[in-house]
Amino acid sequence: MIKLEDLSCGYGKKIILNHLDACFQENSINVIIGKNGCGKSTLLKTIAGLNKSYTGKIFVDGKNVENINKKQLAKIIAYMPQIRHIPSMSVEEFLMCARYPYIGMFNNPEKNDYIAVEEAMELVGIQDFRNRNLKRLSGGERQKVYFAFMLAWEANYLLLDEPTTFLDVEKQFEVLELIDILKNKGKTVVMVIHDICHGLKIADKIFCVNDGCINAFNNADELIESNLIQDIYNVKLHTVTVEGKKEYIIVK
Amino acid sequence: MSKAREKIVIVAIMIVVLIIAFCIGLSFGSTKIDIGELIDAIRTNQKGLVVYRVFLYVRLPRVLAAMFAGAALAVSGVIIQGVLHNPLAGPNIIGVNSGAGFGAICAMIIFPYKVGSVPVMAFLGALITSLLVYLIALKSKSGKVTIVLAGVAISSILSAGIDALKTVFPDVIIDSNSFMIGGFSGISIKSLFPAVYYIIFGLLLAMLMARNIDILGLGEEMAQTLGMNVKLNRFLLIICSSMLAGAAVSFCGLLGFVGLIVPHIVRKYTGNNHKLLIPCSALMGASFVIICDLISRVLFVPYEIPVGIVMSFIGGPFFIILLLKGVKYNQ
Repeated sequence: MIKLEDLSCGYGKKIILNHLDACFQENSINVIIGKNGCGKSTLLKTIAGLNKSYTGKIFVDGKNVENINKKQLAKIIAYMPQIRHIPSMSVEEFLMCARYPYIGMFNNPEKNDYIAVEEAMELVGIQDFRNRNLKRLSGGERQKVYFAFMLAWEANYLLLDEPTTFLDVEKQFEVLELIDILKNKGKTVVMVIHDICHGLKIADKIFCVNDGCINAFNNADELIESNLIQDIYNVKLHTVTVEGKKEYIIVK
Repeated sequence: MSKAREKIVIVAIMIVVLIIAFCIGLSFGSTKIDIGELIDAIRTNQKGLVVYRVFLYVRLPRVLAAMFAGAALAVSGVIIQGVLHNPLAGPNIIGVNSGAGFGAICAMIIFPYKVGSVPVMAFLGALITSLLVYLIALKSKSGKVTIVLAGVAISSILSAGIDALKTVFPDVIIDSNSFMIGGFSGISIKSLFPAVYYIIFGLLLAMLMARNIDILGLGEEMAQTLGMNVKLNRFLLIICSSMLAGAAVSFCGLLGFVGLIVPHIVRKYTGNNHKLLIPCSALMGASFVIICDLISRVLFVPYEIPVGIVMSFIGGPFFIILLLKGVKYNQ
């Protein structure tokens, strides 16, 4: 469980999130939504340990992150930034980089590292392009590789910053399935997403960031009832039933 | 496992190429050394023989110098490009070379009778420059692009400094000209030390840190969340690469091109796996410089053209052809 207590953060001297309290339960999918620039990504970065300008406390598995050393934290929390450097290396070599917290600088990968990479490729279904260069993959293929990377990392908490951006609709749905795979593997996912409808579909809990505050909802109905979506985005959120399944649509 | 074999084959080929280049470099020149005659001379310990003297005092130091300079500059380029995620970066771009050049020319002016001061000052110049570039980048708190820009700015200041010194002290120009172009004529075993120690140390350090360069290549945020101390590693790597470049420049002059193109060419075959990229670049850089130096010696015998010129004439077109052909790793 990740617990935020009285957390205020921002970048530089500017504080954009004020006195937040939130809790991300074990083995659940937590979706963070909010306007551009509301501080969603900053929140994710702060939890990942990338942003040092914060006050308040962050607990991971009951321990204050300040008291967990960097190397240890790297084995617990994994983070996937929205904008990434794409290195020119084979998929397999790239996935081995996810084992860095375990291998370190001097040692060579061991059997369990190879197993972790192999399993990750299998789960995501990318064994076929293990030898292909990451740079030469399509956007959708590459996103799959990044999910395999998160799996090979073997961290319990996965922070994903907008994993569906820049993908076509089909690939977006594939990503949602991948996120489900992560959950089935027992991971706790905290993700920022722009597409509210996608987010609602897979979320166990929805966090809405607005005006420096955070509001948590247990399901879509609660969120709709709160009218918060209308306040924030000036749009209306509806549920409809399509082919017997609950879907969400947004109208102006 | 075929992948691992492929890597071994790549390294093996590069080693063979280097050995061949080394042998050819030793035997050809304005006088040809007959290997059999040489072995005879060494075996019977006839130190007076011409072939023996040419080998020991002219050819061997020269080929060794070319080898170490090539390896050092190539690896220096690999590191800088890796750390700054910038394919345009090279020891000459971020100002390391001009720093070394400035140091060397200062040495020529201040201590004109102490030949040994040149390498030391060149090395110091390189080190101070790269530290300065890094500190500027750190102070401005922005990323890799700033480092390159700061390097370019400092590089142009230092070049102006070099030109100013050349104008005020025209006597050193004769020496400094060959230094600016870069070359290995008149090199002796003695002048290679202690620079060679720095180079060996730098190459080993680069190999040790290879994985960290890979991780840095994933981007700063990724590297940091994977548990790496990004700032410390970047700092160490910059020191390592300036040590390599400074040491090489101290005895071979401003040979900038190797550090830019060799890593590029090698990367096309090995990708960004630095455990493979670093040794391969070292080997290829060494072979490339030995061969260029050989050509510079034999093309217009008995005259010699500075190796820097040959290098650009061969390396430039070759590089462009490679770019156009678009050889890609693991297509």
